[in-house]
Amino acid sequence: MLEKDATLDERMTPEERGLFERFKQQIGREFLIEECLPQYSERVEYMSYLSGYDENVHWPGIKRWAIVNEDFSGLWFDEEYAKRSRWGGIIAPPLYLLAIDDGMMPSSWLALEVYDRTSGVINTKKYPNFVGGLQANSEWEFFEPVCPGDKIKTKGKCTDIYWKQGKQYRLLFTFGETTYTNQRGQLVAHCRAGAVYRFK
Amino acid sequence: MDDVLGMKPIMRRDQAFLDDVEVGSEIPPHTVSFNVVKMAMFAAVSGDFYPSHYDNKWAIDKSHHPAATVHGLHVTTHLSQLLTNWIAPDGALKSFSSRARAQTFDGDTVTMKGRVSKKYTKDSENYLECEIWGEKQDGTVVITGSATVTLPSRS
Repeated sequence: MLEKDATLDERMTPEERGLFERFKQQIGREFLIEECLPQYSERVEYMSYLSGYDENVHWPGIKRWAIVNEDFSGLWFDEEYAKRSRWGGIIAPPLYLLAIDDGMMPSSWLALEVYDRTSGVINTKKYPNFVGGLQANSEWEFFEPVCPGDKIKTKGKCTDIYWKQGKQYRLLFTFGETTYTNQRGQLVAHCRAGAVYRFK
Repeated sequence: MDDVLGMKPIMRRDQAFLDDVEVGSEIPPHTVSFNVVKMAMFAAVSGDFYPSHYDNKWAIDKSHHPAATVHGLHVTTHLSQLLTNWIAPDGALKSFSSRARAQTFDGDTVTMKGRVSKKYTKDSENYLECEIWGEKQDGTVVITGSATVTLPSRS
């Protein structure tokens, strides 16, 4: 089991420390995901459009997501089958919410700063020790189904950041939460997610 | 033989019932084979176009991986599908957690598995807590997690 390691703070480069402190300042502040996309870079905003980001839930979008994930349940595709179920009609797979907002922004916006804003590759001049990052974990709670015609709003919050010493690298752990709410003001889902960034 | 795009017929499953499930019961497995076509399709719906996820040459030369790496969320969605396949149409996924354990690469086949760890009724809903995980063809566990689902009873 890795332990939090305060001495790792001393080993941060000035650029890494800047990144760390900027994240810490964000902890606890709620923000709308779509509002923060442009502030990272136009590139990140464009990515959200490339993915078909749409807070409005459409049946074709549900089917697109399901096909890509090889998920051919009648609940997402067959109106008659879905109508006979407890749901009373077509619904989206629970993790269709990832297509609206992957829940990773609060924990992973730090990565957006490490990657070059134009090319999308690691900015090795500014962060020569950065090796790579990945989504470490996610925890979801689901409260209401997502149906065609819904409009889903998301809010994010950064919750924690700390260093641990790994076997090979210094590991920077970041955590955040995202809430998904529908047009009736009902809480649809809540996601807690963590990411880990490896530094030499 | 799996279609390169993973196309399958629409599944209209018969309902699984609480009465037929005990603590220790295994969830019917769900298997997925990853290839760069599917990985590029996932890049398109997720907006994560980092080339390491669909370009083997890039992944080897620039990211020093043995092959293109499957998006973590792509693996995660298949782990959730293990549950939604099992409980459809009238069960509900109430909570779901996942943790990445190892990387999955182009060409890997992952089988999602699970078993029931707890069974209880609360507010007239029948809950099952489950341990879930995904294993590659060589037995490497790439993802673990837990979930709570509901299932109807026959009565």
